[in-house]
Amino acid sequence: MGNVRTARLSTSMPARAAIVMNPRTDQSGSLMKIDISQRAVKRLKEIQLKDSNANLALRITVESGGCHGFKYTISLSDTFDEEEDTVFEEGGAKVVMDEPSLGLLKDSTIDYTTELIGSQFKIVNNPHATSSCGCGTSFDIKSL
Amino acid sequence: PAKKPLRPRKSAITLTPSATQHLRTLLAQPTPQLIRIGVKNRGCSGLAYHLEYVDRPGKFDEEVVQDGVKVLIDSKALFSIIGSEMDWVEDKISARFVFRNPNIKEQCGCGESFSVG
Repeated sequence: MGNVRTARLSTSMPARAAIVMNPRTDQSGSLMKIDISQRAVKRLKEIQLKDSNANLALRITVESGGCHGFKYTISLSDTFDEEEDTVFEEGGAKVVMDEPSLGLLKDSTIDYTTELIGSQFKIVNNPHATSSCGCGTSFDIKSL
Repeated sequence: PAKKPLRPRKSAITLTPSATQHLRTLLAQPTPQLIRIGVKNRGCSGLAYHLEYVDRPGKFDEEVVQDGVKVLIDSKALFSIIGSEMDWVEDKISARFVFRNPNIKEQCGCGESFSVG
């Protein structure tokens, strides 16, 4: 085992997920894909097992807003819209996105990060993002 | 020797029961370690909470003891987080410490904000 002090936020090797429903192409005609890290797969399988629902998928939805123009929300979902949704699968774990969200998150990695401050699903390595605010625990101080 | 008179002194932060419980599990290790709460300059609103294991307290670190659980507060972070409540929140998709900080001017709700070029 490594030094606990430095054992924070490292990305496990991601795997390019298979597309099991509604493959979509972007404007240039290439297939839009995502990666799902092994840690995210493991955590999602645990959630499926706990809920006895093998269909439970991680739904990622991008909305306008937040301090950088877009923000994503992550939830769990076991119903898919046959028209709108694209479903990815990696090792039994599923991730679902509607087309506009996928357009913004294509080529990203879905990860489950574990730090001393906590663990959560995160989108990492989005090659199309120009700036981001990392951690969800950012704040500023009132001027006194 | 004359006893020093007691002065009222509130603890720098408060911990919720779930926070003390989780801290206790984090601190239950073969080699005794301490957890220090600090802030880092990052994120869109300027500061982000940061937790780390340390062997011993820094010289001016503030010690908070509640229900038998001890945490340290980095002296440099004290000004930013004094009066906060530290909570541990768990749901299916995340499990993490959350700080309710009365000093906050602005914050980004979830931090998962980004822009696309």
